Amino acid sequence: MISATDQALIKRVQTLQCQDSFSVLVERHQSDLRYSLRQMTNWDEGLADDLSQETFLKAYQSIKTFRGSAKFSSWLYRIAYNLMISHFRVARNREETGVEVLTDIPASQMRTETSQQDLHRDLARAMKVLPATQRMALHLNLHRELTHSEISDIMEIPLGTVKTAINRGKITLRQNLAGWNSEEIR
Amino acid sequence: MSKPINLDALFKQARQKEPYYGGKDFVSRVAVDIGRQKKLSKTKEAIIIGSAAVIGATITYAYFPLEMIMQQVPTSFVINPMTVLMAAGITSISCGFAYWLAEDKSL
Repeated sequence: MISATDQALIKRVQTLQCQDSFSVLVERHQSDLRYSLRQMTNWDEGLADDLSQETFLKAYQSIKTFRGSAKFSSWLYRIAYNLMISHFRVARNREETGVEVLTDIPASQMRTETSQQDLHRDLARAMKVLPATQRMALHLNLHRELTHSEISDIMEIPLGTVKTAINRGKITLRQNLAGWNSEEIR
Repeated sequence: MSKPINLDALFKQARQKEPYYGGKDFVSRVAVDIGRQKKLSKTKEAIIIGSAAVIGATITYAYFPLEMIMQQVPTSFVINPMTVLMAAGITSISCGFAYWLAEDKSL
């Protein structure tokens, strides 16, 4: 079962409600998703894992609606993105310190910390100043190497909006990372 | 003036150094969540079946022609040789069929 394709496993879950097959899917995709959500949530490991868990639970509940026209991982990202957006919306409504309401990190602070902290955390910190749409689009494009069209499907936004989000995100990220010496990164 | 950062190179570096998160604990947490969800839906199912049974029993009690059926039940039986033969025949056929079902491995 471990070597079975995603498609075969999904079919088993859809027809037989086979939980073991779903566990193999979870095992296979959890690391990527958990990393991506860490990048999206300013490396909040607890929140990222909670959202990942919720994503897989939702995926199991609605797996019958998965038609296989997109990759399973893309479908997971779509669920995760929607969950993340609603989480931030609720957090903002409650006036909690959500990622969306955080302000820019002072460049000086960033520069001094880059040499001490892990590359992934630094990147997540730099990304947190971007709006969620730009952050997600940029991550999927630059890190996961997905095409604009795939990102458009995942985020359910027009192709033009994806391109704009990526371009704007890149500009903002470059500004935020100005003077950041990538060689310092461990 | 500092050199603009190469985002492609930066993300490539991040991609190459992306950590792998061990999934055992995570997978079992998800499995527990799914199990809990299933249990919830089983409780829901039991409530629905129970409610349907109560409604069904109420309707049946109100409309079921029990008295009429009871009146039609014969109060005495006449057993003649034909009845005995028929009962013996039906019993033999039933036993034969049950034996055949039990022995047939293809079922």
